[in-house]
Amino acid sequence: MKNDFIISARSVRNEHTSEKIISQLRNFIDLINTRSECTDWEITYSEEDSLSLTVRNSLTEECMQSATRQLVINVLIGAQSGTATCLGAQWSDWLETLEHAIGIAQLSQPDPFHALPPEQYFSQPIPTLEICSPEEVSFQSLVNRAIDLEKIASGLQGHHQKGTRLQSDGASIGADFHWIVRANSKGLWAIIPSSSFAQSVSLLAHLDDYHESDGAYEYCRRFTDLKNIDTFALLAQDRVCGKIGKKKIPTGNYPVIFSPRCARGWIKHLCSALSGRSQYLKSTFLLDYCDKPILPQWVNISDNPHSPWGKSSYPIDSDGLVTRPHEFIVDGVVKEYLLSYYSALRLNRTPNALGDGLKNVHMTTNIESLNEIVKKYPQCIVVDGVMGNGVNLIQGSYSQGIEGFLYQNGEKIHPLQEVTIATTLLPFYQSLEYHANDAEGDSGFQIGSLAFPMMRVSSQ
Amino acid sequence: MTLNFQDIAERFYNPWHLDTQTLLNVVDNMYSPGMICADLYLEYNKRHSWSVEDSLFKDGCAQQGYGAGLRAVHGEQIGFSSTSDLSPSLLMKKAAETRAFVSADEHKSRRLEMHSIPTYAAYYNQEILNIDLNEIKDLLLSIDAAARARSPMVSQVLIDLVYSQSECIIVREDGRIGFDRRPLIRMNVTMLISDESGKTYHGYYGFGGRYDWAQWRSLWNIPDLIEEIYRLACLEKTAQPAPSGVMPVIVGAGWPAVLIHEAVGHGIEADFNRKKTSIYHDQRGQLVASPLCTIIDDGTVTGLRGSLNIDDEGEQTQKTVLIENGILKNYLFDRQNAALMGEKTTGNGRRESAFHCPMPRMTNTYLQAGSDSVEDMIASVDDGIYAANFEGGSVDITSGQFVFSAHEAYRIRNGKIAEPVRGATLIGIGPEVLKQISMVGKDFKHDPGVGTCVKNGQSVPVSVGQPAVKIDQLVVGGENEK
Repeated sequence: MKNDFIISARSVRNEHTSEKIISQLRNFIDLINTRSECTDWEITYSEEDSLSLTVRNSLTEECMQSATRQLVINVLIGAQSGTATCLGAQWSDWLETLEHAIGIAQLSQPDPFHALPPEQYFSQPIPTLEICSPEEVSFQSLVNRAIDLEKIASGLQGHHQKGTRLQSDGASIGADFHWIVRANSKGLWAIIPSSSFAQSVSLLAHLDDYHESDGAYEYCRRFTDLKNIDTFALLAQDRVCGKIGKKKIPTGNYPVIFSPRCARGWIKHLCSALSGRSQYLKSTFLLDYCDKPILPQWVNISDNPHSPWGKSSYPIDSDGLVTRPHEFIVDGVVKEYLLSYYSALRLNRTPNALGDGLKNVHMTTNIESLNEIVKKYPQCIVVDGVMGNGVNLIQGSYSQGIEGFLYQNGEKIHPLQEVTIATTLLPFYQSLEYHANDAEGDSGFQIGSLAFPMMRVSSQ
Repeated sequence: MTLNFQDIAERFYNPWHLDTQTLLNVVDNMYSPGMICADLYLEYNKRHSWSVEDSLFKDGCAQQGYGAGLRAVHGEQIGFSSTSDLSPSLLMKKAAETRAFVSADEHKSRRLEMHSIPTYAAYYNQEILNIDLNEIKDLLLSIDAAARARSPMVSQVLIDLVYSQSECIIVREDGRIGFDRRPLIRMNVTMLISDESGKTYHGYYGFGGRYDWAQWRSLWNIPDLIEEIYRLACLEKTAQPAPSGVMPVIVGAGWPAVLIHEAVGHGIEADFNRKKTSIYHDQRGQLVASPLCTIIDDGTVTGLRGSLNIDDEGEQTQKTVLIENGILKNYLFDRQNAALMGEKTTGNGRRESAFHCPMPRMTNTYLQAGSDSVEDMIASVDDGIYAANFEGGSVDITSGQFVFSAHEAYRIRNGKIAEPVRGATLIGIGPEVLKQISMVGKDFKHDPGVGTCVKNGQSVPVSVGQPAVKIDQLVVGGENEK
C-alpha cells in the first residue's frame, strides 16, 4: 500500500477555502435577511474530514477517508419553527433548503417557547479554546502505529494463563477534523475548528473451550495525547485474558463496584434524568429534584467545558450560548438542571448553556483505587461492562447484563458469566459508598471506580 | 411494480453533469487487476420528520443531500473514500486515491463499458415524498386528541413521524449498474400517564415499513393504536419488580425475535466467520439450535423494513436459510467475504449510507412457525416468565452472550399468566439458549416495523419475526427474589 499524504487541520482546510465558504455564508445570511416572513434564524455550516485505518495481522485491512459538508438552517416565523438541512455547499441546494425551512415553519403551530436567546447573550466574547491540534500526521505514521499496537497487544505476557492463545481482531487509528460556523439573527458569529484522534485495539483470547473478546479504545484532541502504545496494548490484553474462565454465581444481593470503564454511565444516567426536557415532560424519577440530595454529602460533581485540550471541551452549546464551568452537584445536592434555552423557558429558569450536557466532568473521590475498595467487602462484584437497555429513567428502575468479576477478601476469584444486576435508582444513588481516584482518562467524564453496598444479582 | 433506471438517473445526472460513461470511467480509474471488486455508490437521500408535543404540531425538519462512496477491495484490504461533492473531477480524484489505498500497481485503463442496466420487478417502488403535509398534520393531531381523550390520567402525548426516500446508483467494476428507490416510514407514539400521587408511567408503540402513505395508513387505525399504548402505560403502573434467577421463559411473537437477531444473527454474518471471531465460525453442518428451529434471512419480503430490491453492492437480495431444523447451513455474505471464502454472495452487502462502507448485514430475519399453541406453552410452566415484548438487545459474538430487556412481561404461576412484572433482563449464551427451545408456536408475526441494527457504528433498518417460543431455562435478572 502506498500513500504518503499528510493529514492535518491545515491540509483539510486552508485560508482560501475558508474565505470562499465564509463569503458564501455571508451572502446566504444577507439573503435570509431579505425574507421578511422570517423573524429570526440560525444556521450551522459544518465540514468534517476524516481518515481512519485498521490493521489486522500486520496488513492494512481498511483505509477510509471521508469529506462531508452540511448546512442546517432553522427559521422562526414568530413562534413557528422550521428546520432544514442539506449536504454539500452548492448554492442552489442552500436556496432550496431555505425554502424548505420556511415552508415547514409556515405549517408548524406556534410554540410560545420557541425563541432565540436575546442579543445580550451573544454580545460576550466566545472563548478561543485549545481544541484543534496543529499537528501534522502522516498516513504512514498512522499505519506504523497501528501495526506496532497490534503486535504488542498480541504478544502474550507471562502473567496470563499458560496455553492462552491470542488472536488479533485489528488495531485502528483515526484522525478527524471539524470546522463549524455558527450564526444567528441575534448576533452570534462563531468559527470553531476542532480535532479528534482515536486509537483502538481488539483481541480474542482462546483457552480450551473459553473464547472471549475485548479491547481498548480512547480518543483525544491531540495525537500526542493518545496513550503510549505499550500501556494501551497491554491494557487490552489484560482485559481479554481476564475474561477467560467465566463462571456463574449464586443469585443474591451483593455489593457492586463499577470499574472506571463503565462507572461514568451512572453519571450520564443522572444527567439524563436531570435534563430540562425530562423535567418539563415530567418523565423522570428525579422530578423537581433541584436543591434536593441525590448523592451522599461528600459528593461534589463539577464540569469544565473549557479545559485545555479537554476531550469534550467546547466554547458554545447548541443554542450558541457561551459555555462555562458548573458545579452540578454540591454536597450531594442537585444544583442545576441541564437546560437548553427552550427547556429553560419551559421551566422558567435561567439558561445555563447545558443543553448539550456536561463536558469534562470531575467528581469528589474518597478512596484511592479499586484495589482498596474491594478490600472493604468480604465479597463483591466488580463490573467491567454493561449490556442491554434496561434503564428506565421514568420509573427509576434499572436492570442490565454485565461483564465482570467476583472478588472475595480483596482477591479476584473468577470472571462472571450470564449475570445481571438490578436496582431501584433513587435509593441506589443515595447509597454510594466510594468513588476512587482511578479514572482512566479515556473520556470527558473523569469518573473512577464507584462502589455501592447492594444490588440484586441474578445468575444461577 | 417495476423500477426503471431513467427514473433514478435523472436525479444525479443533470445536477452534477454526470452520465453513465463518466461513472464507468470513475470506477475504471479505481480498479486494478486482481481486485475482488471496485464500486461507486451514489446516493440521494431525502428525509422528513414531524413531531407533536403539548398538542402542538411542530419541530418539523427536512433533510436532503447527495453522497458518493468509492470502494476498492483487494483481497482482505478495503480502500474507501466518501464525499458530498459528486462533481466528475472530484470523483475521478477520489477514485485514484481509493485505488492507491489498496494497490501500488500503476493504473491501466480498461475502458470499462456498461454490461447491463436491468429493469426489474421491485418489492417496493413507491414515491413517499409527495405526501400532503396538511394530511400529516391532521393525522398526528387526531392521534394526540384521541390519546388525551382516552383518560384524564394522560398527561402528555409524544408523536414522532419520520419518512424518507433514498435513491441510489451502484456502478461496478464488471460494468453492471444497479439502482434503487427506497421508501421508509416510521411513527412512534408515547403516552405518559400520571396517577393521583403524581408518579408517571409510560406506554409506547412504534411501527412502519417500506410503504407509501396510503398503504401505510391502511394498515392501522387510531382507536386500536391508542388502546394498545394506554394498555401498556397502565401495565407499567401495576407491574411488580421482576424476579431473579433461572426459570423457563415464554418469549412472545413478533418483535421478541430480537432474541434470534442477537443470539444467532450477528454471529452468522460472514465477516465474523472469515476472521474466526464468531462462535459459529466452524459450525456449518453442526447442530447449533433446537431441531424445532429453522431461521431464515429474507430481503425480498414486500413492505418490511429490512427489504431491499438490490443490496448496496448491486446484488439481488434473496431468501437464505441460515439454520434448518437446528443445523447451521449458511452465513450471510457480501461480495468480499463471498470471494474470500469461495462462496456466492447472498445479497447481504449493506451500508448505512454512501458515507459508509458495505459489510454483511441482516435484512429480515425470522424463525419459522411451528405447531404449538401459546396456551399450551404457558400451561407447561409452573413458575416462569412470559416475555410478551422487548426493548432492544445486544450480543458478544465471540462468547455468544446476549442480553435483552423485556418491555412487557408477566409472571407465570402454575400454568397461568399472573401479575405483570417490570425490569426483567434476560441473558444467555446464544447456542445454548437456542438448544433450550422446546416449543415453537404457530402464531408467527413480523415485528411492526421498528428495527434498527447497529454494527461497527453503522445503523441499517431491519426486521425480525417469530412465533412464541418456550425456552426451558434462561437467566432472568430482576430486583426481587424468585
